[in-house]
Amino acid sequence: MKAYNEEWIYNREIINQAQRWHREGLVNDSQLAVIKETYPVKFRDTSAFVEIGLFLFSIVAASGGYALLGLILSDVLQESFATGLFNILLGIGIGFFVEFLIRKQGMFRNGVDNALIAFMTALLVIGLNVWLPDETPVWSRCLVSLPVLFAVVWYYGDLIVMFGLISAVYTLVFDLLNDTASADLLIPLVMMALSAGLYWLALRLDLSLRSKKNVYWSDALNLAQWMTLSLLLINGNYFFVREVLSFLLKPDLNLRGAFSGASEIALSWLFWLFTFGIPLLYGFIGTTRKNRMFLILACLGTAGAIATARNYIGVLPWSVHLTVSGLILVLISIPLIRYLREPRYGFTDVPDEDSPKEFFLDAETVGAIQAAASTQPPKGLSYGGGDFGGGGAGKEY
Amino acid sequence: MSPKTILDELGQRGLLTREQQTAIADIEDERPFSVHFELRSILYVGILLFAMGFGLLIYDNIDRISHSAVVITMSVLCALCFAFAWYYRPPMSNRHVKSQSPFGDYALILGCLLFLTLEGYLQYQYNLFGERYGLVTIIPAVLFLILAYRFDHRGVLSMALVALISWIGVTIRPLNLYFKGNFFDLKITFSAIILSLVLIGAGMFLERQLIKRHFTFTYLTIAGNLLLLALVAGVFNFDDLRIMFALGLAAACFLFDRYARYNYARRGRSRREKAFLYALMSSIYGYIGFTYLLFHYMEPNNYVGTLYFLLTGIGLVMYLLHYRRTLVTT
Repeated sequence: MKAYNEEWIYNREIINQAQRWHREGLVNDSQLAVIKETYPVKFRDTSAFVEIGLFLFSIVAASGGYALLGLILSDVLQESFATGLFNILLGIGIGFFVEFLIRKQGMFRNGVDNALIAFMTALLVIGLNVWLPDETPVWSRCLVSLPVLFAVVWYYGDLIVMFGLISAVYTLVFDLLNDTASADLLIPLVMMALSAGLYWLALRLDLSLRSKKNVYWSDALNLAQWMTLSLLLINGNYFFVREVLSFLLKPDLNLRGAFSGASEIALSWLFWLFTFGIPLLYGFIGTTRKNRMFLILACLGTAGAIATARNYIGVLPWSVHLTVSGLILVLISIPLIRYLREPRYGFTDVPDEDSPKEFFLDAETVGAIQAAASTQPPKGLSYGGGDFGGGGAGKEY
Repeated sequence: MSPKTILDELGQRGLLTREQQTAIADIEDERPFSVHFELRSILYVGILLFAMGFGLLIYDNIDRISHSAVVITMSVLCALCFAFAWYYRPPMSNRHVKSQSPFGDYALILGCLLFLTLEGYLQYQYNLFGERYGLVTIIPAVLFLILAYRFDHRGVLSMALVALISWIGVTIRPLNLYFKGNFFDLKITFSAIILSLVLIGAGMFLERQLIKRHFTFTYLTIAGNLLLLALVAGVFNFDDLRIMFALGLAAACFLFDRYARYNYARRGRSRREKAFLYALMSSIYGYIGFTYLLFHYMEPNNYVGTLYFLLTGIGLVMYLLHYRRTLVTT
């Protein structure tokens, strides 16, 4: 039993591939038409922009309804048992409504169902946690929430809840180890082992399901792979272990001192090795296996490793460091782009459909806007230095 | 699923001929792995870091001898970038044209970024423009606008538009758009509205004249957001003129919605998607403005307030869900 029609999800995959071959002239028009007829997909089709609006307004409506019911029942909801029950019942109610939307309205990740599934899961998790005694430690709360999160991911294959599920697993482990004697050494190592294990699990699961022509959880498992590989990278980073983890372990430290005052960590040589070794390993896997995930994380990890090294042993001022780094990146990418004009060793610079072209154009524009914003002269003062805010994916909409 | 599995499946069902299957299988086997996006991202980040680093460098060394060397290097580099872009310039055309070198667009961006830093430095060190701060932003705005049209570069066009917006005194950045806009000043708010109307008008006019029609989207997203944001800010911040701003906002939302419908009816499928962005903009800004007015004047109690969010949320979901259907019928 699953929420969405598995066959349509499978058919959608086939049609996407067939359409790609059609664009490349490998499949003709009439064949594509026959394929579309043989593999029907009856999900509701919405535009990405509309889905964003649908998600936002669904959350607005759900929050409004939740608050209204809470107000009406406020006299009854004094006790934690009643509050918990209220949340859980409402969650179940929303679950039934989502069921209606999927079965009768043909919804499949159209924004409304995404929003309501996330809202429902939050209500169920909150409800359960309200029932637990106040002194329940965080790890037990995570443990109680895990079955709910897991069940939702299993039933819907939902991405937001998958994110929550993995976050809950890591929080659980972190909190369990928090009070152990050598937590500052144990946590990063255990987190790395956990990440590697979970990645392996997600990968195996993904591959074996795909070989059985089951793509229901492909997106969720893909997200799981991204998250676990990223966390493996982060937990091996010397800066993260020395500054961020030590701060998380002793949050009573004041924030200003936290990122500069932390002392040397145990087995520092090992973490330096991880800082540079893991991105290198990712790069190796990415190039030999032609895996985009590993390649992108290798680039990000290398940037993190260099920034970490500069922070502790660097002598160059930031300006020179940035200029030189930028220059190196330019000098790496230009020859590679020229070299890969013709496909070599199975790599090419010719864009294909896996390259998110639209996103890239947007990133370029966002970056340009950030940069251009520095033309604003300070009032009554002379013009200041270049201040280029971090670009990245804008969350405007 | 791998292309191979799908190929087998389609073959078994007899939907592809045997020759096609072998041909596609060969192509899939030899299909090279595209790193187009990754390489260009690296190049772009490199350019940003380089320009940023240089921008800091120039101020770091301000009292040293090496200083003039930095400035000279920077000017030469800037000139080289523009020269490179010019050498590989796309042909003069009102249509969508591309630089003759894959690096032309990037050289142009780097040139523009270096130009901004250089110009800022000249003002800082030599007070070149004196107290006329407007000149500091209008010069790059005009220059970038010309460059954007000559080199057909939407990134530079965005830079030009943002420089124009800075010129009227609005600090605008995509990531903190909503918090840093200085819309408490009535003069700036009005300037923003007038500028955005002028830009939208110019964008539409140029589209009608068939001059760089692919620029219209950039005009409308940047100027449109500025217009709607300024109007919402007007509703929030100015007691005396609230009704006027509210009417303006309603009109703007209505017109954006009309434009979305017009676009949807006229354009090809790829551009139809963009119509939905205008619909989304008008519904979100309109909703914020309307909600604020309602809570400001009616001061509903908690029950009515939460009921309002429940009902309007559902209403807007229904509206957006059926938007495509209303589009087809109009």
